[in-house]
Amino acid sequence: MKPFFKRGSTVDPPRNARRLFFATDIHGSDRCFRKFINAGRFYGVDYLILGGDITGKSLVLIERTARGWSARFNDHQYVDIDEDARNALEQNIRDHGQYPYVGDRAELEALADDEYRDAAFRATVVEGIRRWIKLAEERLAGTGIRCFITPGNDDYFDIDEPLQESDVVEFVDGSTIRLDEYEMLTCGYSNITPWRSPRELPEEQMLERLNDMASGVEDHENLIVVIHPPPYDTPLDHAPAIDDEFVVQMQSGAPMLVPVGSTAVRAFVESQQPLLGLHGHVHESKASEYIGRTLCINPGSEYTEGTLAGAIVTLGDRRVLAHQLIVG
Amino acid sequence: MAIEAPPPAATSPTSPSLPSAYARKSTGLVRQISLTGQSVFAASGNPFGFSLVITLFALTLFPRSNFYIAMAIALVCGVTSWVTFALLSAMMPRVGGDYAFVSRILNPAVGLGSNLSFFVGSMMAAGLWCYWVAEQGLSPALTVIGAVTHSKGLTSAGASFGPTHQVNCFLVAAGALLLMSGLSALGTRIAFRVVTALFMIAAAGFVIDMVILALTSHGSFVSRINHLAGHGSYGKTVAKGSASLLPTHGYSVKSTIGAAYYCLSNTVFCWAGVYTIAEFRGAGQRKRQLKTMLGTGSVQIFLILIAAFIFLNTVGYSFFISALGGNYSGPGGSTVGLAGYVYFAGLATPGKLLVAILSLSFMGWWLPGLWVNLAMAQRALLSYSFDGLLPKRIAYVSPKTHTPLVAIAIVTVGSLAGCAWVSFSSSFFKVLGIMLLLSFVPMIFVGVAAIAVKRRRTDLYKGSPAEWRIAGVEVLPVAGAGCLLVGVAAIATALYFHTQLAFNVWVAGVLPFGIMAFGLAWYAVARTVRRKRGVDLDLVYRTIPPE
Repeated sequence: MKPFFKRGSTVDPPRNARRLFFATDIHGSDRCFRKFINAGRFYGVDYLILGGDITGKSLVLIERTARGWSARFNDHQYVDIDEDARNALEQNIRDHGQYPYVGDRAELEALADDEYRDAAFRATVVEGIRRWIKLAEERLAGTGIRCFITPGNDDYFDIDEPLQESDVVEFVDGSTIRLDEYEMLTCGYSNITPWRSPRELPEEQMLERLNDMASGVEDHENLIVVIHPPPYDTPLDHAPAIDDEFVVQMQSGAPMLVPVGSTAVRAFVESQQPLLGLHGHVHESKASEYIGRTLCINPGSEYTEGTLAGAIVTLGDRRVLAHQLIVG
Repeated sequence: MAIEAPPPAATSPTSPSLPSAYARKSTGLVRQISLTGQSVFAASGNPFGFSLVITLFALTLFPRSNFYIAMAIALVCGVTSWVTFALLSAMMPRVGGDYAFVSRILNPAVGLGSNLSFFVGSMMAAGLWCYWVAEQGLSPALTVIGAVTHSKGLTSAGASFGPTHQVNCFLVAAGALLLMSGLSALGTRIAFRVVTALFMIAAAGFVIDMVILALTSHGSFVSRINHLAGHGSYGKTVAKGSASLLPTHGYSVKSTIGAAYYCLSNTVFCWAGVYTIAEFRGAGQRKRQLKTMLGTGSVQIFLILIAAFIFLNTVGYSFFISALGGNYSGPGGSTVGLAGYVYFAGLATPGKLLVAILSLSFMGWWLPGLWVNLAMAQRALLSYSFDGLLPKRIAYVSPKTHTPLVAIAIVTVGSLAGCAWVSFSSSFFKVLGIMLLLSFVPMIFVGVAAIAVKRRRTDLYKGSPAEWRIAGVEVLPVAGAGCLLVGVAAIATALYFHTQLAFNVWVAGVLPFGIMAFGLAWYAVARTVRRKRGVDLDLVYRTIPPE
C-alpha cells in the first residue's frame, strides 16, 4: 500500500513542467465551452484538451407566433416573448447543452419527419461547432495556449471538417502528436453502446486501432493517451445498467451499477503503460485511478447545468507531478 | 454517456400538437424508472416500522403532549426543507446533497464543516441502530415470546438484552455492526440483497401486525394483558402513570412543542434517503423532484399517524405511555422498558408461532437502517477524499469487490465507538438527542445556500428549474429561509428540552460549533498540505468565468 502522504514537497514544479487542463463530454453546452476556453488562462495551463462528445443531444423548439415567440424549457413556459427575451432564452438553451430551433408552426411541425429532423440536427450541430471555433480563435490566438479537440462517439462526422479548418484549435482524433517532450495519442471512438452512436467500434477493432496508433510512438514513458471511453471495470466506468428497452435496471430499489468501459482500452493501457490516460464517456464515474504506472482520469461531466468538470494535470520529470479534479 | 432522461414530453405552450423538444439518438438517453422502483428505493431509505417505533418515544419523552398535533407541526416544518432540497437538486442534479450544495454555493470549507456534523451524526446513528438490534429487537421479541409461551428462560433471555445489561447489548450491537460492515465490504450487491430481504421480511411482518392490531378490539387486548400479567394489570399500569405522564388534565402546549421537535427530527431527514432517486429519475425537473420529496415526506408522516392510531387505539394511549414510563410489569415481573411497540404488538397477536414470527420479523428493520447510515458516512469520506480533503487512499476501491474498503473500515471503527457510547450510556436518548441535534446543522447551511444562490451562483440559478415563482414570489429563497428557521428553531428547542433528551446542554450546545471549527481547521490543513504538492484546493469549486 502506498503511503497516505508522500514526503517532500513539490511547491515549485521543475522548469520543464507542463500543465494541462482536460475536460470532456460537454455535449453542446455553450457555457461549458466558454469556460473551457477561458480555463487556459484561469488555471495557467499550457494545453487545453477537450476529450470528445462535444455536441448536444436535443433541439428545443421556439415557435414564431403573431405576437412574438413561445417555447417551453427547463420547467419554464415562455409565451409571446419579445426578441430580447428570445435571444436570452436561446442563450440559456445553448448554455444547458441544447440547441434552440426557431420557426413558425409549419417549420416546427416538419421536424416530425425523421429525415428532415436528422438534417436539421446535423445543420444545427455544425453551425454550433463553427460558432465555437470562431470564439476559440478570438480568445486563444496569441496566448500561446494550445487547444486540442477530438470528437467522441456521440458526435456526427459532419463536425470534423469545421474542426480541421481552424488555425487555433487542433483536431487530434486518430493522430499522435508531440507536446514538447511528451507525445499525445487521441482516439474519439468508443466501444459499442446500446445506442449505436456514430463513432463506435467492436472491442477487437478498437484495440487494433489503438495499437496501430501506438506503433508510431517514440517514447511510451512520456505518452499521454486521450481515449474517449475509460478502461473497463475501474472506478472510471460504472454506470446504471439498462435493459433492451433502455429502462434503467433497479436492484433493491437502487440503480444497478455495471462497468461499461472498454476492455480494449484497458488491455491497451495495461500493455503500453503510458504516463497518463485521459478519458470521459461515463459522466457519472468521475474518478482517477492508477493502472500500473498509468494515471487514468475521468473528470465526469455536469454539462446540463453549464458546469464544467475537468482535471488539471502537472507533468514533469517524466511523471505526473500533480493532478486534481475540479468543477468550475 | 450518462444516464439521463430525454426532454420531458411536454408540448409547446401554444401548440398542443408540437413537442417542446426533440432528442436525437445518443448515448445515455433512457426511459424513466418506474414509479414502483422509485417507491421501493424511497421506502428502503426510510425503514418505516423503525420510524414508527422511534417516533412513538415522543410520548414518553414529552409527557402530556398531543402526538397527533406534534406530527402535524412536523409535517408543516418538514415541507420547507423538502422543497429546498427538491429545488436545489433540480438545479444541480446528481451532485450529491448538502455537502455539494453548501460547498458550491457558499464555500467548500463551510461545506465540509457543516457536512461533518452529518458525518459524525451518521456514525452515532449507526451506533444507535446497532444497539437497538438488541434493545429494541432481540430483547422485546424474546420477552414477548417468553410471555405467550410461559417460558421463563426466554423471558429472562429477553431481559438480558435490555438496557441494564450493557455488555450484552454492546456485544450484540458490535456483532450487528461487523456483520453489516462485512457485507458492505464483500460487495454492494450482496449487501443490497441481504438488506432487501430483511426489509421485505420486516415490511411483511409489519403489515400483518397492523392488520391484526386493526382487527383486535381494545377490550380483547385489555383481557389479554390481564390474563398474562395478572388480574387488573392493565388498570394498574394506567393508574400509575396518570399523575405525571398522562394528559388527564389536558394536553401540555410546551410538551407538544417538544414532541413536535422530536417528531420532526425523525421524519424530516427522509430527503437523505430519497434525493438520490429523485435526482436520478427527475434530474433537472422541478415537478418530479418536488413530487418525490414532498410525497415521500408527507406519506411517511401520514403512514406513521395511521399506524400509530391503529396501534394506540388497540393498546390504549394512556396504557402505552404509562408502560413506556416503566409502570408495566409483565409475566414473571418482566418489564418492557422502551421496547413497548414490539412487545405489545406481539401480545395482541393470536397464536404463539405467529407471535414468534412477527416479533422476530421486526428485527428486520434495524439492519437496513444501520446499513443506510453506514453507507452515508462512507459516502461522505469518499467525497472528502475526492475533493482532496483526505488522502486518496481513503477512497480506495477494491478491484475484487468494488467496495471502498478503507472508508468502510474507518466508518466501522467510528460506529463501534458510537455503539460503545450508546451501550454504556445511562440512556440511549443522550446519544439520540445529540445525533439528531447535529443532523440539523447541514439543514441550516443548506437554507443559507438556498437564500444566497441567486446572488452567489446566478449562472446556475437563472433560468434553471429552481427559479420558480408562485404569485410572483421566488420559492427557493423563501423555502431556504424556512429551512434555516426550522433548523435553528429545532436546535434551540433541543437545547431547551435537554433534560428530557438526557444530554448536557453545554456539551450539546458547543458541539455543533466545535465540529464546524474542526471542519474549518481541517480544510485549512488540507489546503496547506495539498498546496505543497502542487494542488490548489481553492480551485476545486471555483467557477471559471465564462466571459
